[in-house]
Amino acid sequence: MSKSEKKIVLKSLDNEAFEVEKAVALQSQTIWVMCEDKCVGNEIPLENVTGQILAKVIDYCKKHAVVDGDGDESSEELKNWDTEFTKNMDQSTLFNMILAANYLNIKSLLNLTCQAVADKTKTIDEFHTFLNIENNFTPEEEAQICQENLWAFDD
Amino acid sequence: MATERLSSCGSVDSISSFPDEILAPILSSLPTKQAASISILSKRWRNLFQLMNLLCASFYFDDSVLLHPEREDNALERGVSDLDLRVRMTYFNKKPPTLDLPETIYINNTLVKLTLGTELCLGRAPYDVDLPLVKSLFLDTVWFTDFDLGELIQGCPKLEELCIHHEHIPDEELGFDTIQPQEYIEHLNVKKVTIRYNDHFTFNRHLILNAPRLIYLDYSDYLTCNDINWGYFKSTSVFNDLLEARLNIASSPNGRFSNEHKICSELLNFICNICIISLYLFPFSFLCSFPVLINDRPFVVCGVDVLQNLATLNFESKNRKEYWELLSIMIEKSPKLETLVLKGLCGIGNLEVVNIGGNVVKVVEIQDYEGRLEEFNHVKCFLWEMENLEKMSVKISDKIEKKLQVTNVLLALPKRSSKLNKRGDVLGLLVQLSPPLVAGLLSNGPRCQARPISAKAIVNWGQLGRSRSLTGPDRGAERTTNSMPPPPVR
Repeated sequence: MSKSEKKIVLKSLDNEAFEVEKAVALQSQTIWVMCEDKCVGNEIPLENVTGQILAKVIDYCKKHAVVDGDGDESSEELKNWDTEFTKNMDQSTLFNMILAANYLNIKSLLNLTCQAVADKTKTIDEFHTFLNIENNFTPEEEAQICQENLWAFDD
Repeated sequence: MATERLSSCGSVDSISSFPDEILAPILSSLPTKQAASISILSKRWRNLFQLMNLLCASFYFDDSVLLHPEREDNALERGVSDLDLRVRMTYFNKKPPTLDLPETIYINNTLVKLTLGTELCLGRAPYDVDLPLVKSLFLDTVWFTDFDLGELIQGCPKLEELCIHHEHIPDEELGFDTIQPQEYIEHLNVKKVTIRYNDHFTFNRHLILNAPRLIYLDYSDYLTCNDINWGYFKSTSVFNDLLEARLNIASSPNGRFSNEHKICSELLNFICNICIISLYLFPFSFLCSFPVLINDRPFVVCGVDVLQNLATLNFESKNRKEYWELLSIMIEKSPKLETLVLKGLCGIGNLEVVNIGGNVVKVVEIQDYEGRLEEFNHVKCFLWEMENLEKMSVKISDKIEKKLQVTNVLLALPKRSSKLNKRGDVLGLLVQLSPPLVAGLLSNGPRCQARPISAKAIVNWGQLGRSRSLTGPDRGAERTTNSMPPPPVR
């Protein structure tokens, strides 16, 4: 590939365009495959990701591309950065990040965001409130499940 | 491609609409116990924990509340004595992920009973195994990537009961079918060993069992070794203390070798001091279609000289002439045999092959009696030939409708043994029916035509059918005998 192709443009669902280094964008397996197949030009439309989320994803990729590239930062620092990165995200952002990471197929980001969700939900009640999951079991069904997995519910 | 507007995410319960592929890694980020407990969240989450194993090949237990050494509520550090860890890790013929157990499982001085399974790769074998209190070890298709299970078994010096099961795991990827059942089992103290290898695919394996204190052996396997020099079943010591053996040996459905007799006689040579033998000669149900025969002669013919201490023989097989031959040989070679339980061997036309006289057999039990002429002739033969017989118990198959008729015919048979005839306190001939069937028979109209007396007798048998155990004394039965009507002459 020629040097002029070093940068590509990612276009979000709401038509926001981001120009990024190819090395940064290629952390996404989805984009990598698109480029490999030459099925897109220099501008890649990402129909599933909003601009707000895409900006965050690109932040993450930039950070990790730099580290992977020249190895200046220690893995410890990177870990801290990751923690900070997800720490203040609200539930809705976090979910959108997970969906974006899944769609763009960025494994490390998916792991990071999944872990963040897991960290924020320590009890069943937290699951119900943080994740807005409605309990649609009847009390009988619930008792039966408890019985089946007794080891998981005894404290 | 889904074009659902992402701005709607974060509204009520958006996470439940996530695909399984996304929910599974979230779950695997949770401690195991918690991941399992989310099944109670809602119907959507009901089965995700099981799915997680499938979707996350890198699923590890090391973050588990149950096992993690750092957690203060760690089960193992609290002094658990019975650990039962069974996870099925094989799916769809894929190479299973490994489960690296924490060292606290292998070096632990509170565990008494340890169960590991099922179809579980435990990763690399531990450097050291020290389980000083373990008395029961149950391993169900588990294996290490680098060594066999010998170290684990040896690491339990107080072991009394060992069960090793092995199921063949079919594999279409990665040449993973090299996992063989444990071939060398050595333990100096173990008393009870159960070996069940359901694997006729891996060939030329053999089994060496070195357990000099063995009392009980339950061994099910296919004959898969065709190398006569290897032998099949070996032991460095004869099992002098062995009291009971259940043997369930089958040739591979894939074909037979020519040396089965040697293999089997070797096996029997080690158990010649035995008191109870249970033989199942058509084991693994439909899996095995070939009984253990060589040139159509049963293996024992060329095997053991005398089964010196054999007192109880449970014999279950197909109804074939060779097995009747085998049976009479075993009876002949067992001078102390007193109890004989037959199942499946219901009788063949040619009675000449069966020689069942001249022995001390006291109790004969025939299961699944169907009342055919051959079967009837055999019962007759047993009653007439066995001069020491004290109790004959015939369990009539549920398939038979005319139970009363069959019963009456049997009761009318002549008996040779003086003990059967003279002593009223010993049961002559016990024909068993289960209570619901008796009730059905009695209410079932004219065909039975049960005379009041015999009906009463049968009801009594039904009652003892409930309380009767195989070994216990049969007091209820004795009472029945007293009130038993004289057999009708036909």
